[in-house]
Amino acid sequence: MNNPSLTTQLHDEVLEKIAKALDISPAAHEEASRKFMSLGAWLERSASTLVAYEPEISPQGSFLLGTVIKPLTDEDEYDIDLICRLRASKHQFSQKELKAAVGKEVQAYSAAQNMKNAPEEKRRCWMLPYVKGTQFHLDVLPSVPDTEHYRMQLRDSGYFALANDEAIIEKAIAITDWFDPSYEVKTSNWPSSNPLGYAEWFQRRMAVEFDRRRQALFDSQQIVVAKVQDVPKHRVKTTLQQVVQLLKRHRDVMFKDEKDDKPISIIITTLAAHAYENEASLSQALDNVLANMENFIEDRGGIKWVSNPVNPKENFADKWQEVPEKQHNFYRWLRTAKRDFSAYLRASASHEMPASLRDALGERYVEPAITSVHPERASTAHSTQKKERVLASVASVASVRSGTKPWGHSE
Amino acid sequence: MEQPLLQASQRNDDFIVVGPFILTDNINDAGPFDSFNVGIVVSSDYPETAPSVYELGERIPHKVDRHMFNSSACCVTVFSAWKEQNSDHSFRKYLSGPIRDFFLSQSHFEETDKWPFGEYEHGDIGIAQACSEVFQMALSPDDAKRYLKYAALDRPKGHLQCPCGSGLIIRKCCGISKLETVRSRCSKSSALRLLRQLS
Repeated sequence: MNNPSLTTQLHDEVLEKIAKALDISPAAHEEASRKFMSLGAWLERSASTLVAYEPEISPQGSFLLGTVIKPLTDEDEYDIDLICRLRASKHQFSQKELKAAVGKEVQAYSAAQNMKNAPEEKRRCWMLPYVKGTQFHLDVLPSVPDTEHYRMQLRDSGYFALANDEAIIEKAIAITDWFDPSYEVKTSNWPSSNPLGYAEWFQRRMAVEFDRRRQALFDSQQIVVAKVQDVPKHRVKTTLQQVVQLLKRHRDVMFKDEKDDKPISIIITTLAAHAYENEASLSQALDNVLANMENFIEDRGGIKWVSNPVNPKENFADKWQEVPEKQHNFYRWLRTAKRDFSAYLRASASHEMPASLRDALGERYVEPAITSVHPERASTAHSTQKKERVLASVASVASVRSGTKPWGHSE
Repeated sequence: MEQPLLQASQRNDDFIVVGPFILTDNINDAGPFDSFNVGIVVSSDYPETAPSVYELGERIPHKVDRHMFNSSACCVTVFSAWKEQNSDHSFRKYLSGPIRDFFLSQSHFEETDKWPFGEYEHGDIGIAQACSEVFQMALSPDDAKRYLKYAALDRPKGHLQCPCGSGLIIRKCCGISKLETVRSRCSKSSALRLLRQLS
């Protein structure tokens, strides 16, 4: 390592390529956006039974955070989490009635689109199943605004700054839950949630790097828009988002056979965002996040606590109490991730990724990334796809012209 | 840049291009799937003469069957025949056409034992095969010689031996005007060069 900055830069390039390959493809992203906008248009149409409540569909979760990764296998699907927010109050519906009202329109939509599989009712949402030709399903979460109730709860618990943070509070919603005791009665006591407020918090955690990268994208004119603010948010990818993507992938592979008790994405995402310090370099961000993320797990009277940053009374790790295996798995995963990433970042040249990390991220993503950063390595690449790609290239030449035949003198 | 890793420098009147020649496709920014270490000498009179291409990584066996000389030189193709069938003779075109095809073929051969675009046979028969493509008719080496000579003439005359090999003079056989189409398929300089390559 004679030039540390160059070394870091090459590690960064390799890891960024992998993160990019793990990300949802732009085409799939567009397809998913089209899908939920079409659902939104359906709910708003004049004949909609919900039209009086001005229903709004917006994405939430990893799709909104920009931390989606491809499913582990081609058989697995992306789930796109959506919020359906009605401009209504908790007094107009019971939870059950709201769920049914939204469900009725979601079912009508599915029928109008000739979807083969009917929507399924889940505990909190409606699930529009996989449609042939796409690789995702939509989870639609019925909700109504809940700002004042949410504000009060925060105040009662002493979180005054948060209670006055309008950009976060205004996004709070009340949701429905089969298992809530007041599911079937009209009451103001609904489960509350704030996924869009969480996204606001996440965005703030990476604001410096986001602005820097958005500006760079604008300056490079890869996206032509009038002003930098017009660059679509999902086109900008920060090192925090990429760290989360790499860590989630590592987790998916490590727990591919024990999916039930794997560390959940919201915990990884929250701890990573806390530890993140807007590092411009992906390797440095990874290094810092892995070293420090566990410091943001609180100990509240012997209970491990991963606070929801927009509602600190909520513990994302609440299940660790009932199922100690989950807590154990989180720490086991963190140790393994630290070991695998640091073996690469600290002890290997950028083109020599140790086998453990190679396996954890997947050969199909690693090898193309390395040969793309180190093209001279391609001749020795042990790429499983090489033959396929040779054949495809031959076919692509042959489709436009006759390939050149070699000649040989007799000597 | 199709070959970002090649470095060019000038030596006397020649251009020397050295470095990894990479094979990429445009699938998902996936990077190259193969690369060969090459040296290419391009003389100042290019495209009059063919560039010499060498595979310097000792990867391809130096066997005629692999279209390689002992000197590490590559038999990329029959250059004049390529020129006659393509209007753009720029070096860039040669690099992205025949040279890329050559290394892609080598890569393909390693994977499958087959030449994806076919191959010309060694020696005169290979030249005749290339001439057959240029003149768009099946030619033996002897046929090829007659047609090449005819194409190399400044002004064909009706009393010359007909290139079709009938033994008759042109005027009494194929005729000047009919032969003009054939003659237009190969330039004089390529015809001379191909003739020299035939033993």
